Amino acid sequence: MTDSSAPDDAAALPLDPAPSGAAERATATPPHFADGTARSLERGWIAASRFGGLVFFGILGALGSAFLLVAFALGKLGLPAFLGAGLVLAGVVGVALLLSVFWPKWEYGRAGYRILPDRIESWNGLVFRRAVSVPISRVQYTDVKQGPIQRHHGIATLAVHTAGTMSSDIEFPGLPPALANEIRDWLVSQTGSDAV
Amino acid sequence: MRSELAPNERCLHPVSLVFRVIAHARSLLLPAVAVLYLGRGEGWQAWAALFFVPILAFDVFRYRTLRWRYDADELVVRQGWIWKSERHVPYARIQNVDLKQNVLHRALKVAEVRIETAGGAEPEVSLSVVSLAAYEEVRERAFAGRAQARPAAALPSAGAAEDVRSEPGTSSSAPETILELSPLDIVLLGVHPGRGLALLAIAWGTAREFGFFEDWEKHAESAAQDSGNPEAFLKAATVLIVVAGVAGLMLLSLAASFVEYWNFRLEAEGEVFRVRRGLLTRQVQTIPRGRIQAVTVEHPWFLGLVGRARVHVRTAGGNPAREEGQRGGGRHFAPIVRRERVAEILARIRPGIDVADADWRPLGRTAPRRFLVGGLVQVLPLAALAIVFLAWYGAAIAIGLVAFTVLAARRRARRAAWARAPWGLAAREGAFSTAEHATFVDKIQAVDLFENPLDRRHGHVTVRVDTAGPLSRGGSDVSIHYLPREIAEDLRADLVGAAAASRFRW
Repeated sequence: MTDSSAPDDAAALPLDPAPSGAAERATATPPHFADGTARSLERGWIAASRFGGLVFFGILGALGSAFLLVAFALGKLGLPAFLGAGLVLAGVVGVALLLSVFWPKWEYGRAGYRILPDRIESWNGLVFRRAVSVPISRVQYTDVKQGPIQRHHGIATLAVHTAGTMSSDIEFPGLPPALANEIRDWLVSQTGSDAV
Repeated sequence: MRSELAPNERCLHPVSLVFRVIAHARSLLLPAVAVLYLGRGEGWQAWAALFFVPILAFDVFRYRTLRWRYDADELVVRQGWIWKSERHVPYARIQNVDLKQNVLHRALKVAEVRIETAGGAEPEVSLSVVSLAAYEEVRERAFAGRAQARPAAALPSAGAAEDVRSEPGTSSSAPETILELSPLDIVLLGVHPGRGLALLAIAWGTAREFGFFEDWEKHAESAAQDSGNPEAFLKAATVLIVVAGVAGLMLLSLAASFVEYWNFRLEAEGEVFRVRRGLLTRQVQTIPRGRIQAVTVEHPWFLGLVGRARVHVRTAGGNPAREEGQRGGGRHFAPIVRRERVAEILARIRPGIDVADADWRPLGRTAPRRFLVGGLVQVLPLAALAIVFLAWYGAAIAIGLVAFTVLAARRRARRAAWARAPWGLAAREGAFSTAEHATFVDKIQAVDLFENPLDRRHGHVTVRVDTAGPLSRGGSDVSIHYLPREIAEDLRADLVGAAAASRFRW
């Protein structure tokens, strides 16, 4: 990214936001997905996050019960303490597993993304909601990521990196892989010209 | 074992060797003492220390292989003898060039130079040590590219801004002093309460580390027994020690302030700011004007009493692992300045960004309630604890705490404001000490909206503007809390649209 654009780069300070980049872009017709409609994630995202939650809390529960059983077998834990701790563990893990099943479905209705010719936006969160908006001229580079579970459910994650600090990695999960690749290619073509 | 020095390449000053050896000796001193102290009788620990000698020798000689050259648009740094590395640092990415000279450096007329690039994760270039002439060369080369390319590309957009930028004559490269600190300024910085508290914490921590308190208790007890009236003696001794401690800290803080800020000078040279300071260790920071990502004007209550304020700037450079004072280049931009001069200093950073003069808008109608609730949530548990443990004294303390919190929350709500200006966004915060944070449209990386359940009940949103910077840092980014949802959404759309239409340069 730090290529031959040096003279241009070292140029006058952007005291005023220079509209030149936007003017160039406006002439090119925006791609079909940059229409500004709010899209929800793919349904596969629910199953994928459900699976992740179930596996995580399942392992946690298994480890917890193994620990309790070993402690009981070695005589470090009396029967009442064992039963009590087991009940608490079962309750906590049970609630967590239940939430893992339902939470993604609830959150699904609250998560989405939107692409405009000059910016990309995503929002998510059920209790704590967050919505981020990134000007396309600030995108430094992009990745499309797809793990085995995501692949199984036919979704991909688009990761957009800016030069920022707190929001320097913005993830768009639950995209159809083909669209994720298309968006990435488009972002690369948009930012290659004028990013640092 | 020196690698070939190409004609256009530079190398470190020969006395670098001395500083490398000193640095290693210092880092080895403590383990060496420990080994000698603990390992009496057993020889093997001492032999183990010898194991480090070749490593040290290797490192010292590796240092001698550092070479750099100035290409058309990048700095190329080569290092290594067996494992070779070559780093290319584009001039366009250089954020600041810093110089540090301790007493020994000054005696030998050399300096440590650090070149900071954008992005906290990227390693910076450190040249330790070079001659002062070499420092001047680094500085000139690093920022020359900008100046040369300027006329060609400045034509279309920046032309208008150019006219306002400065009076004729100042655009030449002769350094011009913007701010110098008088001895009174340095004294004010030294007696600043916030600073005293930090020192108190350090002193207390050190004292505890060395077991001072246990010793003192023991001595005090025995002395009290000897004196005949133990209770009165202990009281008097405590008061005396507290008074002496505060006075000592005050003096220490004053001395530290003189060491840090003596000879402070902020100057502008063309497009680059330079900050010099230091009595014993001299530091020079070089901050290109265009690399400033955000500006903060602080009004600590204490400085406000004497009609002064403070201006910080932040660049994207700087390693977050480094000490606070060094982070992000410009914490010392104008550590203390008369309030009347703040506007002038801001105008030097960018024309027209006088935050005091901005079109400040208050938060929503329900925001004061949020400040009050936020304050009470923090203070009520404390008040309850005070009552439980101290009874009547506690009740008095609790009432005082709550009253203060209410007062602070009201002031906070009155002060909180935001301003959207053609150049960017500013936000004001604080109760007794206030601060105005500002960032520029062309530096905005992303705009976030946050909403917690309490926000949702009030229809509030937090707007946070993200700018480039070291990965972790304190308080320079611009965020606005408790903004009504519709206003926040409009503001975000507006800011992102403006940012998208501008070019970002580090």
